[in-house]
Amino acid sequence: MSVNQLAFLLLAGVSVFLYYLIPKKYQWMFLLFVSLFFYWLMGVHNFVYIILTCLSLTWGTQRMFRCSQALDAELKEKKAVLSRVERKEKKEKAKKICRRWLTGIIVLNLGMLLGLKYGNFFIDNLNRWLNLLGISNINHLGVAAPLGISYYTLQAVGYALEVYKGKVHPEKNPLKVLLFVTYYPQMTQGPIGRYPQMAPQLFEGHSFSLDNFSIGCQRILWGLFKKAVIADNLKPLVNSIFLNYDQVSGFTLFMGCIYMVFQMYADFSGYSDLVCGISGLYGINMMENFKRPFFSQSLGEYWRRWHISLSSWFRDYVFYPASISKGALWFGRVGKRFFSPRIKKIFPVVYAMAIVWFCTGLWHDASWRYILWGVANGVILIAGVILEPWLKKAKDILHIRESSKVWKAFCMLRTFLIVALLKVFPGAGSTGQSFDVIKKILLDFRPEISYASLFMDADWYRLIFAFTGLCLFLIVSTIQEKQGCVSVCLERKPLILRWGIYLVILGLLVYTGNFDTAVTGGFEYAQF
Amino acid sequence: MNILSELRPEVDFEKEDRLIDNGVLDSFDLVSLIGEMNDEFEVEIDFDDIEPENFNSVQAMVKLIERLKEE
Repeated sequence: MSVNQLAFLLLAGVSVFLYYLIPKKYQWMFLLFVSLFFYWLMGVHNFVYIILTCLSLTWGTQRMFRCSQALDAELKEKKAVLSRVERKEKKEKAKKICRRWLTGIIVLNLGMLLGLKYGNFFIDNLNRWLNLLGISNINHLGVAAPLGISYYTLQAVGYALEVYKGKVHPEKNPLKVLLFVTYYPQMTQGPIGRYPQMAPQLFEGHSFSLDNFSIGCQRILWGLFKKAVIADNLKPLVNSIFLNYDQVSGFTLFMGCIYMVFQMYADFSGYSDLVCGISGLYGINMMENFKRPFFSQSLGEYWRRWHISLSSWFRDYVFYPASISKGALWFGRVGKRFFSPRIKKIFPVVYAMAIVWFCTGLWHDASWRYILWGVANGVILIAGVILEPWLKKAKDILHIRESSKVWKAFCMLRTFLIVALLKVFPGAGSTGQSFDVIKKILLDFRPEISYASLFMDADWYRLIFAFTGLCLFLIVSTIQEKQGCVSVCLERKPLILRWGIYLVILGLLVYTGNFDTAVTGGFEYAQF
Repeated sequence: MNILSELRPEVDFEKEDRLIDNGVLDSFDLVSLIGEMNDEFEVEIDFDDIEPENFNSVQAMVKLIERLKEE
């Protein structure tokens, strides 16, 4: 069941109605019931792993917290007796114990993710080596990765890390932890929530608010519009181009990359709107996952505006620990001593970015093409860091004013094209095909302005629908970029204008949306 | 202050009190800053200490260093 399907929307609608009939004290239990019901519909086998995650979180975080509390109590009691050295030793000992519990939680949960999602990928690669040695192959694991494991595992590990840091008190009630991990609107594609922001909203009761309800409905409508009118009208064209990559020109493949950018953005951001909208109906504010990424002037900025919950998770829990690790800082100091002071500044950053981007690529899919996609992003970002002084000099020599509109427009276009070209990896069906696509774009470009070259055999009306939707999307995004929240802007308009806009969008959704899921499939990021 | 001025000479660090929250210092700046602070003040800034409230202003950073030196 996908978030944009009628069955899901009905489930959400009925559950919202019942939610507000239940006393506030028990609303979180009802939300847990709905979430587990949804998860059960997706397959009973999913439960084993998520229960293990929940139990490991509840128990492990409680042990960490008790260890910290015991230390605080002892230090307070023996404040006058202990020397500074003794206090430091006790703190380090307690930290070591907490780290062991944290390691246990991370190893168990990441272990499940690695085994269930990547097990067969590792086996396939190992089998290649075994074949070379004439040894018989290892069979694939006969288990399927549970629904949402890529998302809820990161969310769970993030919670454990926040408890370790002392930022939050762990939740004692395993059912509340289970709700945090299984909250159903975000199950299939995130956003990857943070415990300090999500937990109070999930566990506290909410009274019905017409404002929240209205904004929630607007977001749902907008999300469905993006998905059905833009993403799903472009999907057949994108699929057609990449499936027939060997029969089309490099120019058509290049255009396919561009269409894919719009298709994936509309798809994923549409989903995020649906999640935020449905959560808003309950009075729960979810983290925003997108911030108009195509206004970005650099790839780094793009990744601060695209899939924000994932990129910020990797920044906070992988980039920072890796970059300030003793090893990274030590190498930086050695680099400064023997080569240049700049090495001390950039080595830790480059080292951490290499790890982050490898992991980001791997997180997206158990395949070499996605790892290569992640590595390609990382190479471009790392090159930007290393070459920064020379790029700055080049701008000075060319008298480029960074504040000029022309320069900003150039940077936005450049960023868009980089992102589009990197789509050769996700677009192609396999790693080998990715390289064939790249070769074609570079060596067999053959630009041609014709319907076949630009749009293959796509239905012309779908293109008009998608293009109209994109224009509307661009207008809304521009308003959001310049003025902030569109809902707030709309609230100031007369009632008849507001409802006119809603009805136009609804009409476009109903008459121009592509609802044939046999052709379009579900949401793109649900596969990760 | 010297460390901060070398890192981002265009920023008025005496007035800014939301350096991280407002994106004045990005993640790369923060990593460079931590490296310099560790060496200059002979402290060890840990993963636990990387919170916006510890780096949002010069005063917050001073407080962090003082706390780490006491430990």
